[in-house]
Amino acid sequence: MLGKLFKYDFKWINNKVMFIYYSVFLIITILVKVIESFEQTILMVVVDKILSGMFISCFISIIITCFMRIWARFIDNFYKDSSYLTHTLPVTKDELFNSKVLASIASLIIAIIIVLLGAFYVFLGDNGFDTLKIMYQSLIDAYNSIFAFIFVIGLILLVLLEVLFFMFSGIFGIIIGHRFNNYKMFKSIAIGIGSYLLLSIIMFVILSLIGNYADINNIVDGFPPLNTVKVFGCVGIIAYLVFDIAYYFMAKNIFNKGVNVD
Amino acid sequence: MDLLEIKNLTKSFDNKKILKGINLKINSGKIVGLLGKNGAGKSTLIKIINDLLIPDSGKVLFEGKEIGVYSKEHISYLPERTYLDKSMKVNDVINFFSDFYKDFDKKRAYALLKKLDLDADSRIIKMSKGMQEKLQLILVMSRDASLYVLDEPLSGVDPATRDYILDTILSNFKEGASIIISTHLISDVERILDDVVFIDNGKIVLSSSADELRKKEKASIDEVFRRMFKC
Repeated sequence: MLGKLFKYDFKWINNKVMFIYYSVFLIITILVKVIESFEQTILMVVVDKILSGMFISCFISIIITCFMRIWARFIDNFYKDSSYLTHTLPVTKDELFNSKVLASIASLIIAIIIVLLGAFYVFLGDNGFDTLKIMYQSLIDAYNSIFAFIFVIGLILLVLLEVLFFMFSGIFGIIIGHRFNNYKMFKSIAIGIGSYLLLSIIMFVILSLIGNYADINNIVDGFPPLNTVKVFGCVGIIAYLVFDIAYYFMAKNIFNKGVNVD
Repeated sequence: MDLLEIKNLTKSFDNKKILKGINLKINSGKIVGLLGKNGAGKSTLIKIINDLLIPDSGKVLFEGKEIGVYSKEHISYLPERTYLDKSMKVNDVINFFSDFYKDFDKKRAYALLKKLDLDADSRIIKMSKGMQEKLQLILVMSRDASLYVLDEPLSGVDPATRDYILDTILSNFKEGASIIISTHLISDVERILDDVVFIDNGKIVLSSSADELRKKEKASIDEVFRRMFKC
């Protein structure tokens, strides 16, 4: 049943709206590169700037729209008219919740990959892979080959955990906010933003405290010392992992107690 | 064992008591009218039976088990509002029901749709409200459930459509199953009811066989209701 629920949740989140955004983003990405290949007259420079601005807008819009579609799916399917069907399906509450979380994570990963591929093509150009190789080599030169690989994986993991942290803060706010009888949307937004800010401040305090003890001044060729990077990286990953897991279990446990639909 | 048993159910919203200690038993093979004025607590009771609201206290048992996956496999619910994903086509929503409900009869659903002259490729958002409600009814009655719970299936529709709805209900529910129909349009449903439950101000004020009540009061259920709840 989880697979079937996932199919419908994923389709809803990634509907025509997202498809249009991805198509427009693809067209603008191609146009940016095409314009760059023309002789750079004043007109072409202006067009290039406009397209670059549109590219960045599209980039941000895709990410924001993906988040909004995820949160809208939670609200619509758990608390609005279609909740009358959702909550009467012969599936467990765990399955209902997990399906949405998994569909949300899959949708976010797809959105991030698409926008990053576009950014890679636009900003690094046809020699993008060579540019990346040079950047990776400088990482190996600063540290060592094993750590350079771990660093890249760690960075990807950290970005993913941060994105999930933002997503879960919204979901947590929705689940708690809709336990009330009145002002549900206002309370959902307030709790979501409030919990996000509170945990971000906690993160900031933790990193500041570590910064007092870590060697952050000894920068060599633009790279901080190896141990400093390891400490900050590990703390960041562990902290976001703990926040994400805490958010997930708290939201799921509260959701499992039942809902009061509109 | 009773098909459905409700024990001391209470529910409040913003310090206002909507249900005040409801006790009720429904047996198999009965068509039960849940009758009451607007705001009596009928829909609240039905929503709790279908796990859409958390009761403050009390229990709802389906075949002796608490409301959960098992009860949802055997209860077919028609709410008072349209709950279908309007971005879907009719075919999509039939496949959705078929995916989740083992007792859903696709052939019956398509046969009923054909009678309505409804194109299975049409989008729900493009259908009128009346057609959406009929589609919902078809989906609900295409299940071979043990209990059908229909919340105000006749409100907001014309008399001809009311007859269609009642005929669809009577000709498509599983033999031996029970139906709970919540309504305030008593004269329309009276003819099909086995039992009646009057609910007023969050309490059950009367629970009886329809025939016995008519014999005792020497009046139709509709007239008894009007006498009891005269403003």
